[in-house]
This record gives sequence, C-alpha cells and structure tokens, in this order.
Amino acid sequence: MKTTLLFRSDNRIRRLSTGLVLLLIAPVLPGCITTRVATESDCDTPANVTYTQKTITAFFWGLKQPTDIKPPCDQRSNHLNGVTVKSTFAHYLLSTVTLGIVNKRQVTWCCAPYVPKTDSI
Amino acid sequence: MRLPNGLQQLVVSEVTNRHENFTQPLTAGASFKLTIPSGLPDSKSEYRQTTANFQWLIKHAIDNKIRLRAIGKNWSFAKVGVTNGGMVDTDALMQTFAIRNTSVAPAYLAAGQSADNLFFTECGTTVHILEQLLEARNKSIRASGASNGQTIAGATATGTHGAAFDYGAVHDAIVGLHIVCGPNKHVWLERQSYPVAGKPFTDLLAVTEVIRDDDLFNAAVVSFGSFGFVHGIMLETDDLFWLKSYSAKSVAYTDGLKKAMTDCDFSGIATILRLPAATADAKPYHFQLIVNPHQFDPSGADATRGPFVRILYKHRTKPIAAAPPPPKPGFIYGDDTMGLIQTLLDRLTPRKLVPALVNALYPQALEDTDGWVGTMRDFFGNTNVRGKASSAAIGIDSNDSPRVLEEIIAMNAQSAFPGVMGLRWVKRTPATLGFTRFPITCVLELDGVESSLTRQFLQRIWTRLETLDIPYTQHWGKVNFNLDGDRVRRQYGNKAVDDWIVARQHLLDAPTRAVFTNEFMERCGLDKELILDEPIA
Repeated sequence: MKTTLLFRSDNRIRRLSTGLVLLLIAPVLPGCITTRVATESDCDTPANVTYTQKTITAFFWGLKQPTDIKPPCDQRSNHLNGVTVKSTFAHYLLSTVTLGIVNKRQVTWCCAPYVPKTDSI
Repeated sequence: MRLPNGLQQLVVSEVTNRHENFTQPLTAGASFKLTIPSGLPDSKSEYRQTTANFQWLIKHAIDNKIRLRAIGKNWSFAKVGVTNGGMVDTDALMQTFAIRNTSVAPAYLAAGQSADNLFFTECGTTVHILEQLLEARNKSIRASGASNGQTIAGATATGTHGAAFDYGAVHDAIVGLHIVCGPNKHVWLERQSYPVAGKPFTDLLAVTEVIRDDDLFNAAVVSFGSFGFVHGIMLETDDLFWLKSYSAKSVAYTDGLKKAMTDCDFSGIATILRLPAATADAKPYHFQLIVNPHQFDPSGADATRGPFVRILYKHRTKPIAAAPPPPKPGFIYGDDTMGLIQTLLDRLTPRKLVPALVNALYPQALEDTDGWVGTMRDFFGNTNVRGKASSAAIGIDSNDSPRVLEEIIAMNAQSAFPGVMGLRWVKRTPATLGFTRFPITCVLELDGVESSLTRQFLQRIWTRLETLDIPYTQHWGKVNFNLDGDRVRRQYGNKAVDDWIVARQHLLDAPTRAVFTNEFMERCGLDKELILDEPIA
C-alpha cells in the first residue's frame, strides 16, 4: 500500500517536474521550426527588417487559405532569393487551443537584388 | 507626400540587427528605401537621380528635424550605424561602373597605374556581388571580412579589417568617395597624394565640388555613415588572384608560433604547416588562429591543446589543386539555439557547463581547409551564424598579441567564456579612426553567445588591458558597449579624434551634421563641435 502511494506520489512529482520544465522552456522557444529556402544569400534589403515579412492565417483546417503573397520586388529583376517560414510556439498553441480552426505562420521573403550590367565611365 | 523617382517610404518602427543583439526604435514615417530609378535614358542619369534623391532626403530631414542613417545589411553588433530617427535602406543601389583611361587623373596614369584596376560602385553593392562582377573581369577585391554578405559601404564604414597582414583592411582599397553631404552639396573626395579621378569622371557625377585632401579623405573613409550619404566608392582592385590554404587543427603554442604572432614570421611553424618558400608568384597573405580557451595549453607542451592555425598564400596564377569541398551536409544549429543558450546561461547560470558546451561545439566551428584553393569569394563566403550571437574585437599591436592571449586564457580559467577566439593580422590603416592602427594590428575576436556572462567577460578583458596599460582599440561595428568619449580619445589620441571631428565640420554644415548625428556618436563624444583655427571653406 505504502509502495503504491509512493509510486503515485513519484508520478505526481514527475508530472509536476515535467510541467515546470515545460513552463520554463516554453517562453524561450519562440521559433521551434524555421524552414528556409534560399537560392542566393544576397537580398535587396537589410537583414531582419519587418517590411519583408507577413504573418498569414489559415482558418478551418485549411479550408480558408490566405491569398498569395506578392512581394514587391524590383520589376526589372522580379525574383526572390529566399523565403523563410517560421512556426512559433505561440502558433502551435493557437492551433491547439482552437482545435486547428486558426493556423498562423510567419513568412519572410528576400527579393533578389536588381544588379544592372556594369557600365563604364 | 510626393516622392521622387527611386524613393519609397517605409512602414517601419524599429529595426533589429542581423545578429539580434539589439533593437533600435525608429521614428514612424521617417524611413525610406532607395532603388535604382526607372525610366531614365541611361545608367549615368539613374546614378545622378539617386544622388538627387539623397539630397532630397537630407532636405526632408532638416525641414522635419529628424535624424537619418543609411543602412546596409545591418550586420553591426553595435548601434554605431543606426539612429532613433529614420533609416535609409540603400541595399538596392547596385550600379557599377568600369573606368576608362580617359576618366582618370593624368597623374594616376603617369604613376604607372591603369584605369583597368579601378572599379566604381554604388554603396549598396554587396561584397559578394562585387566579387562576382570583378571575377568576371578577371579582377579581385584586395581584402574582405570573414564573410562577404555586407554592402561595400557598410563593410568599410566600420573598418572591417579582413586579414591581409601586408596589405590592410577592406577600406584600404578605397581611393575615392562620392559623398552627398548636404541638400545642395555632393562632393568627390580623394587624397591629394593619390589623385585618381579625372574631370570627365567628376563631370559625369555632376558633383558640386572636387576635394583632394588626405586628412579629409582619411577621416571620411571610416566614419560609420556620419559624414553624409556615401553614394559611390572607387575601389582599386587587383588582378584576379587565388588563395591556397595551409592549416593545422592544433599547433603547439611554442616560440615559433609566438614569432609568427608578433612578426608574421612563419619560419618557426613552416615545417608543421608544410609551408613552401615564398616566391614572386606566391607568398603569405592571410594569417589566422582560432583558439578554444577551454582547450589551450599556454606552456606549449601539449600539441593537442593548441590553436587552429591557417595561413593563406596569395597566388598570381592558379595553382593546380582541387576546388574547395562543398559545405558540410546535415543539420545546422537553429535560429533560436543561441537565444536558448543565452537564456540558460543568464537564468540558470550553469557556469560549470560552459567549457563542456564550448568543447562540444568547437569542432563545428573548424573546417579542415588544408590544401584548399579558391578565390576571395570561396574563402570568405556566406556566413552561417544564426540567431543571437555576440562578437567583440579588439585591435592590439602584434607584439602584444601573445601576452594578451595568455592574459585572456588566465582569465578564462577563473570564469569561463562561452565562446572561442579568433586572431587575425592586418597591416596599419591610414584611416584616422580605423581601429587597425598599429603597424601590424592583431585583431583579436571573442565570438560567442549573447549573454550577460559574455558581457561580463568582455568587460573584464577591457578593464584588464587598461590596468596593464596595453594599448588597444575596439572594432566600431562589434560589441563595444564600454566605449565612451574618454576611451575613444585614449585609444586613438586627442589629435586623431579632433582631426576627425574637424573633417566632419569641414564637409557638413551644422544642420546637416544634426541629421547625421546619432546616439552612439554622442556617447563617444564624436558629435562635439570644435572651434576651427581657420574658417570652413
């Protein structure tokens, strides 16, 4: 009997510890998965600027999708060099709490620089 | 607000730097992006329109009493290149021009130089793209940072040093600057002792003034964006050259290695690195050590606990060898890994775990480059550092480098540093506030995790150097939170600092200076006004 109680007590402590660890770790995991597609490292913007990123939302298990993002890259080259999709812990939490009704992702793009042909002076 | 061709207003209220160790608030509505203007007849007209756009921005900033700073790739670890006003994104400005003999100063040609080695580029061209363009012309830049993702203007503005011990830093290849330094003023600035541009060239830029002055040029070339908008840069390039690597993962810290550190004399380590004798076609160009402070034997007895050593030979003709191997496959640490380690270090303080952590990660920082052959672009390519990182760099006289290294190792034994060190050697720059100011400067970098533990360690090193009275400078674009007016003057001397301030007053009038003053300069006393002996021309 005592052994069972102790076993239950151990289990509770273990669950409590696991919960505490998760609670501690949760705030430090703002970006669990980052998927990056890059053809070249060069961009026509500085690193980490907010005007080349957008948070998109899909609703009802993907039945209602966000419209395509059309990054305003220079029309003379009109190419992307990179796209990063980031799923944060908050995004997973939101999906879980809403049972998949609301799904968010952060998309960052990097326009290829327009590099004109070298002229001469 | 109606904006000129090639200018866009940005919706941005803050900017976080590339390495995510600070966020700079910005004034709403004060930031802009410049692009190469469209619909104009030729590239020269586009260039001139961009100059006019820079002037428009200065006038707009003066009228609205806002501060502005051009931003490149946003790589600086310090707030040296940002302001609480607006940022001007110049990254799309990538026009480049080859130079004809008819466009250069006669004195340049008379000195035996060729216009073929000159290349004029807009400020936003990345070093990576510049290297591509130059290689296509069978040319090469002379020095670069460890990575090539910065814009050329950004790399030079903070004194990016490279590791060319008998040449110099990135900015030491600059021979002319086109600076927009007022709403009605944009100048061509070059050294009087080394004139480069001819009248056809400056006429095409339609500059309001041509200034040939060594002191002004040497001040402006490393001025972190505070001398106005650097629109165009004239670089002197080299014929395309190749580098061949001779490296060893662990070299005993012997007198031979110390001689290499103090004098760039590699005779004491030639056998272990299998260095060939220097020839007219091939000679040492780059010297680097990487030191894991947790696995270092300062006595030199244990050869397995020495630094990684790499020497690159510069070859005029391509040596017969394989191309660099492809990047390592597999996982790379995640964008947030550094942030996670920071949190663990700051909140949980597992100080005893630091050496184990560094020892586990250290092998990933090393590449077995022995025998590699490649161009500058191959060796100093894209960085793969992700997330919150910290990097500080000090410049010391190469003669002091063994002593400083040993001091840091001793300090690490008392309190572990969560990172590793890199040491590179660079020839002295003539730039007034260039931090590679010793005859041969050893640039000692401390790279690690952004954390309070790292900051405490850095502070202790800086304090220790001052206690020991060992002269040092600090990289403007790296972690340098202790810099203030007194320290800047101690590091560079009163004359250099005053000369730099006076040069800025010469080039910019008071309203324009206010636009290009930022909080970092105020902290370092570089915004001060000096009374000039003679009136500003």
